Amino acid sequence: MQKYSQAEQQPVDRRWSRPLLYSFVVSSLLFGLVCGCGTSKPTAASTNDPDQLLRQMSEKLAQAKKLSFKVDRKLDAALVEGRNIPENAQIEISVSRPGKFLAKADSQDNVRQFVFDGQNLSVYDETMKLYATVPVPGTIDDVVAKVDEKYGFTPPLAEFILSDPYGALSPRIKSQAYKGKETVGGVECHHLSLGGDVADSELWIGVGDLLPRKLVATFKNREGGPQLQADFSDWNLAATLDDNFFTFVAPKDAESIEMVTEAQMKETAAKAAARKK
Amino acid sequence: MKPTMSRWRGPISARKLSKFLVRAALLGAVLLPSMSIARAQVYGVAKSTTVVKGPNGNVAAASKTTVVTGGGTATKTTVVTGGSTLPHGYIAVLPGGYHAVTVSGVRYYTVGGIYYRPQMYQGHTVYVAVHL
Repeated sequence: MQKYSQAEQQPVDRRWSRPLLYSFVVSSLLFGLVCGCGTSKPTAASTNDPDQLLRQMSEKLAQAKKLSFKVDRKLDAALVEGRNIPENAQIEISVSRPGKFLAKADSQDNVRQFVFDGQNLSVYDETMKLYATVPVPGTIDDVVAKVDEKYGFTPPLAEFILSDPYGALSPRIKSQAYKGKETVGGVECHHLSLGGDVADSELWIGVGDLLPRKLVATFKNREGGPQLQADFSDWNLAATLDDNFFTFVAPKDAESIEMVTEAQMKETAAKAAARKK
Repeated sequence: MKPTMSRWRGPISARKLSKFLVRAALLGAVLLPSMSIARAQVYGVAKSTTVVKGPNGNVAAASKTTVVTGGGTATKTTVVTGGSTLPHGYIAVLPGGYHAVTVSGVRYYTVGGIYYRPQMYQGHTVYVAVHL
């Protein structure tokens, strides 16, 4: 009885199993195609989702082990420490992940270099021939965090050279919107609008290469909403950069000076305030 | 015996949990303000004056310090003052006509009878007035 019923069932199962198998194969292929599109490498953006575009830009930057680019940066007067005049600077940034970078900022006031070799950070004022070197062993991420905390600054546009730019940018973003496609410097870009507590940013990311092309940040925490504008260019994600390139050698006529910490400066300010009273 | 132990474990772990949560909250309350200051750098722009608005709406500004006016719970927000400032005695740019002098192997700049010692602060050269 058992054998008979099994024999009866087998042809029935085969009849049903074939279409089921086909539909499974077809749906698997379709699913694979859909997933494949969604997880394609960030060579060309296939989305208008600002968060996704930021992630793709971040991945593209993080994947490049040795890179270089230029930034034309304009700072409104209120953003320039102690000067109260606008600053225009041409900045050249070279990076060798995980632990080396060199940023050279050439402005109307001075020429400065930020050199990190994995052990020490040197800031060199080329105009006055003065430099300060502090030990900050670690990666680029480490030096950016430590120098921010202890010395109260970060190298220019450091967010874009960290190992995870998305991780650095996204916590600040409280709202985001996709504003459409626009051409910046002859490059078709996605225009993103990113709202934050300290600054609202407009970011243009290349459609074809997913690289940042332009950034305009309006600082809401300052009177008059001063702006920072950064135009990115000359991206090279496979730069040839020798390790010696990131070694700071002080020129003979340059003098070493002290790098003042935030804590020291606060103490000085407190003493000055006490003397006034 | 077992049921007794399980009865005890409940209250003890709850107490431990609440202690842990209180400690974590206290630690967070201590650490969070400093973290928010450390993370105040945006695109390499130097930290700004932080202003805290009190419950009466009065606003105080202080260079690189968090100020709470009026006591009580404060809502931390906007800075309203002009450009950034350096502490008293510091200048960002030397006055015209300065010249460099070396005293005991250290470089100073002098102009109008005042001597300045250069220092690096927030990635820029600044100058502090000194008595020699």
